[in-house]
Amino acid sequence: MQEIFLSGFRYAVRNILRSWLRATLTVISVALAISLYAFLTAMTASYNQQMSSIIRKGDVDIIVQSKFSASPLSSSIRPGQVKKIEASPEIKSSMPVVIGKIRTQKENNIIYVFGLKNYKQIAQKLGLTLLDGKPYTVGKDEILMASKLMHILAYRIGSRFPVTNDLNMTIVGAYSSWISMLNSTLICSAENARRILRRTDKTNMMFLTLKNPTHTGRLMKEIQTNYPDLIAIKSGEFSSHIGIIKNLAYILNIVAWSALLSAVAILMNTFLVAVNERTQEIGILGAIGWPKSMILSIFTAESILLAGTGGIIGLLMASGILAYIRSVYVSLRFYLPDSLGISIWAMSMGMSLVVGVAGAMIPAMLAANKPIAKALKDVH
Amino acid sequence: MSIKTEYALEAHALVKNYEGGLIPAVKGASLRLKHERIYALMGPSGCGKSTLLNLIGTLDTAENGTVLYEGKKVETWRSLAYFRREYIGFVFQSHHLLPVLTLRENVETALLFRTTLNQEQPMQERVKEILEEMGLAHRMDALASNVSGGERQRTAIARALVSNPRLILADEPTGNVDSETSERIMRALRKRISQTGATALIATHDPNVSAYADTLLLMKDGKIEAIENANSVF
Repeated sequence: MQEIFLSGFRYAVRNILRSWLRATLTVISVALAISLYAFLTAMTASYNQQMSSIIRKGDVDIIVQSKFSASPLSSSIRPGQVKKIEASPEIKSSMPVVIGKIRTQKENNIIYVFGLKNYKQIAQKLGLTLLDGKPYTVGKDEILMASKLMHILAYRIGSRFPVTNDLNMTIVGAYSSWISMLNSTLICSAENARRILRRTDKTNMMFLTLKNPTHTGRLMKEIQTNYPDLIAIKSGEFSSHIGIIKNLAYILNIVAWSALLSAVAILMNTFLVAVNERTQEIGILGAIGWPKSMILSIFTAESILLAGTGGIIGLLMASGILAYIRSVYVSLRFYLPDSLGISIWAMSMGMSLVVGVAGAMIPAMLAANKPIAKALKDVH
Repeated sequence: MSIKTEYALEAHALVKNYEGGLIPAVKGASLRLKHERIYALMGPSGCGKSTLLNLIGTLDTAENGTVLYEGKKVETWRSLAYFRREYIGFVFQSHHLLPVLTLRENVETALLFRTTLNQEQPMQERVKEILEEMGLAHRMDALASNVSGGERQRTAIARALVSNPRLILADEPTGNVDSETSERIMRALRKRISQTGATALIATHDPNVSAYADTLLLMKDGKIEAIENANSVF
């Protein structure tokens, strides 16, 4: 058995080396696909994990928003509903959030506006870090601006910023956040946000902390029964309920899977060519009595070797890309994990092997089923 | 190796057509091969010699007719692949070696799945022995793609004989080699057959090859036309 394995392996390796240029190009293609897959999967996983962990850290039990809103931006909770929910004896603290968008007067860029009742209380929950200046004071025309946005718009702390045609507010602080939307955002008090957005009755979301977290399910049910147009989400499940994040995750998954399918197609193409070129050799093996399963295994082994090598190189590439992006694009650090992690390595290597088997299956079956007499006559 | 039947191989009325019946290759060919004999299958090009060898060796399937190996139909074997590796040694006109393997590894390919045989004598030993017999001891570790045509053909013969097959099917085994190599190949074949009690069916145009045969089978238009004792011809 060992001799059969070693001979098969030796034959597979030498066949790969025989067409080294084609093998190298195939490995590079698989490596690119696996690196993309690993990177995107790590990013999606990290994004969801960070969001869940921040919400957990923020001690939020329930998040309330409109039932059918695709994103917090389109969600709307009426003032009466906010008051009634806040009045529930189960609630320890409530944080209504106002969200909207405006356009800059000069460049016509879109800027998001976040209105928070209490900056300090919610900053941690939204992953906000005040980089410069101070928090806004409720009752004053003060705003915080994302440092990235401030840099792009060339404003400084202390500058007056025209939030509407007839209203200017003072920039009192600069912050950064791991949520991309917040990095092109103004943050101010909820009242100021309503003035800027000209929606005096608007509240987009509510972050609720309960006196007794074990009553979460009960209060969620109560909110949904009393307010059928609202949805109460457990904080841990929030990221999966945000349409935009959900859609982003879908897109990332589609891209990641497309990359894997491309790798399968590349491998399959490589091996269809190989089977065509080695028809006579396949005939020889058949003539001397090699079982079909062994011929199939040879091609599968070659494919797995290529895909496995591509997988390892791809993972190293993904690690390198991750380290590079983290070092160059500081604002993106919030999205990204520190490293790929064992689970991503294991999953990606598993995927490489699946890609290898899938890529070789059809060509290998074609090879194994070639009529021997016909295969022996084939000349390339 | 015990011999149970009178004939090593019996083929009855084998028929094979190509191109959907437009090109008849073998038209009811029948033959019987006794043990421990060399048969030379002779006839003009295109008379169906190679096709007949392919049908007998299960490399192709006949549309009609039956083939019995030591009295048993091939269908009764575990599988065709099993039958080929256990019973038959093929030699092709073109050496048909695997170019990425060494001469030693090429010969080993015929033994990899012969577990019982390998238990009798280690595979490496057996391979070394036959390559020495073929005068290839010094080239054993050379890649098949790096040796001469004669060395390749001798390796192909070694691969066909190494597993002590009961039936050796050879299609123009000396077609691409010089007369000296041709002699060497035929002598080795003859020696091996007398040692193992095998039967050989050799398709050839070469009178030097047929000189080694015990019996000549003359083929014409897809049929065996005549069977002659070699001594009566040469």
